[in-house]
Amino acid sequence: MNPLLPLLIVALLVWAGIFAFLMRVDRQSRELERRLEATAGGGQRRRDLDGGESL
Amino acid sequence: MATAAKLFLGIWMAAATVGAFLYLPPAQGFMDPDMARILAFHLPNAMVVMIAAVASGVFAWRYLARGRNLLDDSKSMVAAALATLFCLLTTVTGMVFAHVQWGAAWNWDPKQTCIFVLLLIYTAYFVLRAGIDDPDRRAAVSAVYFLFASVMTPMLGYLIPKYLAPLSLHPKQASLSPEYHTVVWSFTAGLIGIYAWLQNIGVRLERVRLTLDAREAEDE
Repeated sequence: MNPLLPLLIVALLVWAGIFAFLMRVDRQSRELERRLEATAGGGQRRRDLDGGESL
Repeated sequence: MATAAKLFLGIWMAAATVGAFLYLPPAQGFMDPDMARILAFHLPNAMVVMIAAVASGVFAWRYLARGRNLLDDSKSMVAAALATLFCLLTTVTGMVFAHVQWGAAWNWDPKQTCIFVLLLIYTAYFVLRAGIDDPDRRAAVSAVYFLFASVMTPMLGYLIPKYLAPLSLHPKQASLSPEYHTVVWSFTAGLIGIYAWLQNIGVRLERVRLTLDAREAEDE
């Protein structure tokens, strides 16, 4: 067996954890933004903040 | 960033990690040729520090030159935070490399000293931001400071260590095989994707914060 295999498995598990965390934070931040825009004036404020530009 | 792009990024980084462990041969010219593969993680992090610092500097310049939009300040701050994060990762992976290759994690090698100074410069940016309450003044002062920091990043990350190379423990004539180039650049591409993703999330959260602040100000 390749002696680096256990280290590779640990590295892949760490990356899987980071990736899952990023997906979760991304989804939650989108949900937060969607809720804010759903309330009165949120969408207009977003356009004001962006200065008419998209990111 | 679309979901398909995120999944592609996830698979890309996993593949690059597998490449770093199974595809890379032991590197010649190192004390521990087998463990030199940590370079595949160390070098890409250092490159992303440069990109994040330049991005932060560009947003800082945009804030100063184009209408003093607080969202530009937020973008600059998020990029600066990510530059700090990747700078810390570069330092930690560098320390692991130093421990394996030179016997001690910290040797005050010119590159290590430069990255330490760079970390101090980035930390001072956040201390400066925390010390100013008025959002417009904070944004203006921070933008000027980070323009300086973004110029210092390539100086401390590349030019000064290159000038002091004769004093450095870092390998001068390391012979890295083509496999190293493939894996390092693959990892760099993936890390740039992660940086872009994190920047996107950070700016989205900052936009929510600014909207809530504006709403609070209207209510008062």
